[in-house]
This record gives sequence, structure tokens and C-alpha cells, in this order.
Amino acid sequence: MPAASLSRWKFLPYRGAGVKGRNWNGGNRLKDTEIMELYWAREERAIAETQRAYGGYCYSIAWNILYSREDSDECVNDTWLRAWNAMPPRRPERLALFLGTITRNLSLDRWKEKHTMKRGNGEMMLALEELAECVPDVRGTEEAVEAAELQRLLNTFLYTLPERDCNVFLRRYWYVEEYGEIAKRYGMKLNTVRTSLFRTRTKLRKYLEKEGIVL
Amino acid sequence: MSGFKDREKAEQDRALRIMDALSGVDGALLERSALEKDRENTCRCRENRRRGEKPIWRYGRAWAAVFCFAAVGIMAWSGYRYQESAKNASGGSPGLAGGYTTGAAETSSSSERILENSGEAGAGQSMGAIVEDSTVQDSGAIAEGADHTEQAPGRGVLEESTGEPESSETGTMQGESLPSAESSVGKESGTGGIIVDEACGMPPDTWESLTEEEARGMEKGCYLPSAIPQGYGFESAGWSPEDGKLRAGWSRGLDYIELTICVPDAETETADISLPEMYDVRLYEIPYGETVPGEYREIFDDPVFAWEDMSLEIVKCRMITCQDRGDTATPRGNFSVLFSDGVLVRFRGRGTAEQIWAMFCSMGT
Repeated sequence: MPAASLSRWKFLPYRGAGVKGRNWNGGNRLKDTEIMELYWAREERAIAETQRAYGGYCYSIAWNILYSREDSDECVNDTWLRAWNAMPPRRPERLALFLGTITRNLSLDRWKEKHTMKRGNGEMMLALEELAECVPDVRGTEEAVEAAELQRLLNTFLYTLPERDCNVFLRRYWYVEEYGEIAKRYGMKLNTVRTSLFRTRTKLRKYLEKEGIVL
Repeated sequence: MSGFKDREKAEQDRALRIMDALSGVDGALLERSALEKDRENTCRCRENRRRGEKPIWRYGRAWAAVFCFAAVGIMAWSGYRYQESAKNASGGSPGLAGGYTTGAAETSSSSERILENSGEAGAGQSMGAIVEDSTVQDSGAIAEGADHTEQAPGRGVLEESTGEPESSETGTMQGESLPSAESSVGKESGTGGIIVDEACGMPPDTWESLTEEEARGMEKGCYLPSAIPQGYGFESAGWSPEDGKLRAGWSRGLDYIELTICVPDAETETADISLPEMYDVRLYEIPYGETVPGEYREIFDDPVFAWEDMSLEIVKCRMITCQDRGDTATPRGNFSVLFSDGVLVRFRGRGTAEQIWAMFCSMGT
């Protein structure tokens, strides 16, 4: 099915859009393998099933980054298009993570393109400000590290963290969730979440410095 | 200004690079963070927390604290009771006879049976006291201490019991097994009933009440001190025509001084002042029942000093300050002094060593 024929999906906004905390795993949805079979069979119903199963999940990722309903809807729809184009040949092990990563990348790209967010509005700006703390000093500039190398180092670093700290970190900087949401998710106090993130950022900065990373 | 913005922009770009790099995070890590959510959702503990409730083990510290307080309370109460009973057993307190006679009385209601029981148990200071207390029990009075005993009727029964050979034999045995201030004087006087009364500091029914002037006018009245420590006021005096004992008491709030003057029938053994371990209370810690060697106990509880041996230092050896809650800090002590004319003055009360020594020095003048 050509991409153009999917244009109608672009005008099918997710019904639960804007409803935070929606259980994206709820409902009688198909299993991941069944959905992927639909993709591989090139059946359009795959999109509908994907949206039913992961629409809320992907929308929440986009919303946290873009803080805009229209942009989030577009990113989610673009995610389905990307998924349609990727499967086949790909057959992801975890469809949710696969889709979530696509949505996140699309959202980040959109955020960079438009950059419409005003300072202090939305979690993305806050998250970026926080992450800026992790950036090592750039004095004595050397060759910038490759994105792939940075990814590898980040993965290595995250595996060194305690499980809870790692989860909180990812919830904050991967899903761009609010502190309160993270605290509620893990049954932690707000200050505990703040402290955990602060310590993790400090560790990350030291780690990157130790690895000689220059961004 | 623009430099600041540029720097801010650069920092933001670098933060975005990290944000981008995070897109390549292992799916396993992301999955784990999602799994934790599921795990938390299924965890009753977390659910309770979300509902604002805490599972019972969340109160573990509070429960542990409550348990500890309860345990400490029980131990403290048990220790207090044990200490009280030990104090009674040591004969150092007024409740001595009462504590033991109560136990004896609980075992029997008849005088004869009480005599046997108390003799077997080694309880009581003298048979007279035992019989008196048991009589109290028979008459339905509550006899927990000697102060109950003294007010109980039945003195006649006491005298009858004391007169029996079996009773006197038993009394001697008890006096040996439970040495005390009262018992030592009791053996000297040979009348156990009075011992109990002396212990509680109040004259028995057979004592004739005297004024201070009357007491000083008695045969042994000269042994009543003229130099009473400052602040003390005369409280009471008594005379026992049966055994010729004279007693007098002074008080100052919670502080008191009690003197009993008598002429022992038998020869009285005095303490060897060269052996302070036999009488110096400063060498031992309370409870004396655990620290004073058994061979010194009898003398230690109420040593009799010869007047010739007496000195301020000896008095200091016998006065001790106890930090009892709600009590005064006045030193307290007890001892007896045997004068050269055979008069025994037993002191029991409170005051500084200097005051007590001055008081003794004023006797016989």
C-alpha cells in the first residue's frame, strides 16, 4: 500500500488524545504478533489495530515532548506510516518499544524543526535544561563524539545504575514524564524522584567526563 | 547578551544530543521500566500506598517501639517488685516482718499452723511478730507490712505465742537466717513483738506515750540527746514497761530521727572497728543483699559500736545518701551504740554525719 493511500489515517486523530495516564494497554486488542502479521500481510487493519493498542502510548510520548495536540497527533500518525514502511522487513521483538521509539524520534525532530515551545512551557524544555547539566565542559574542544558512540556509552552507563534510578531516569528523559507522574508510577515521594534524578545526572556528567566525551 | 544566548543555545543543542542518543537505549531497559510499573501495579503494598493506606509491616518500627516499651515496663515492674521483696528479705526496711508474715499467713489461718509454716519457711523476725501478723490475717485485716501489724489487735495472742518454747526456738532460727537491725535488737531484748513495732517506728499498744519532758525525766532519759539537728521537732516518745525500753522520735518534713534506748539482757557483741568491711556502707553498693558478703550481713545491717570506739568517722561510715525520687537528699543511716554502763542506744534516721555525731556527743549530759 503506498504511503499516499494512508493519508486518511492522518485525519483519524486518536480518540484518547490529551488524556494523560490513559491505560494504553487496555481493551481487547490483538497481540503484538497478530498485529505484526497484519503488517506483514499488508492489511490496512494493521494501522487501526496498532492505533487501538498503542495509540495512547505513542500519543503520550509525543505530547510530553511537543506539548501540542496537533503536533502530537501528527507525530502519532507519522509513526504508523513509519511502522507501515518498516514492516516488513522488520519484525520487532517489542512492538510497543519499536513504535514508542519512532514516535519519540519523530517528536524530537518536530520539536527541533518548529521550536515553537516558549521557554518554560512544557516538560521538554525542562528536561533539556536538566540534561544540559550532564554536558561536560567543552573547553579544549576535541573531536565530537559520534552519536552511535554516545548511545553506547549511555547504555553502558544506564546498566551501571540501580534499577530504580535507571527507571526514573528513563521515565524522565526518554518518556519526558513529569516528576509527579514518575513519583506516582513508582510510589515514590516527589523529592525522592528529584534527588534520584539529580544524583543520576551528576553521575552521568562524571561518567562522560571520565570517558572523555565532548559533545 | 548574545553571547549568553549563544552559550545557552549550545548547551541546549548538546542536551538534545543526549536526548537523541537516549533513543538508542536498550529496549530491555525501557521494558524494565515499564515492567516495574506493572509490578508496582500488582503490588498490594503500592496499591495501599496509593490509597493512602499502609500495610501493617509498614508500621514495623512503631510496633517494635511499642513492644520494647511494653517489655521494658514489664521488666522494670518485675525488677521493682523483686527489689522490694529483696529489701524486705534483707530486713533493712520497715516492711520486713509484714512481707514475710503475710506469706506465712497466706498459708494458714490458725495460729499453730502459722507457727509451723513460718518456722519452716524461715520467715519473720521473731515469733511474736509472726503471730501478731497472722492474727491480723485471721481478723480479716490486710497485713502487707509491719505498719498494718502494729495497728492490728491481737497483742494477747502474741504474748501467748511468745511464751511457748517452740516459738522461741523458731524465733532464734529465723533471727539467724534473716539478720536485720530489728532482729539483733530483738535477740537482745528477747521480745520479738516489739521489734516489729520498732521497725515501723511507732509504739505498739503496750507502749505508754510520753511527752518529751516526760521522756527526758525517765530513768534512761539522760540518753536522749540535747543537741538535735537543726530543724527537727519532737514527734513522739514512748515507754514500754514490759522490757524497759524508751524510744523517742523527731521529724523534719520527710526526715526523721528515731532513738531506742534499752539495757540488753544478754551481753552484746560490738563491731570491730578495725574491720570497716563489716559496717562501712560506703564500701558496698545497693542492694546490699547482693554486695555485702553473707558473713558480714548480720553486723552490717545494724552494727553495735562501743562508745569508746565511736568517732565522727564511724558515723560517716554508716550514713549514706540515696537518690530516691520524691525523697530528700539527707543522708540516712542506722547503728547502735553500747555505752559503758550497758545502755544500748539504737539510732535510725537522717542527718549529716556531723549532726548525728554531735547528737550522740550530747547524750548523757
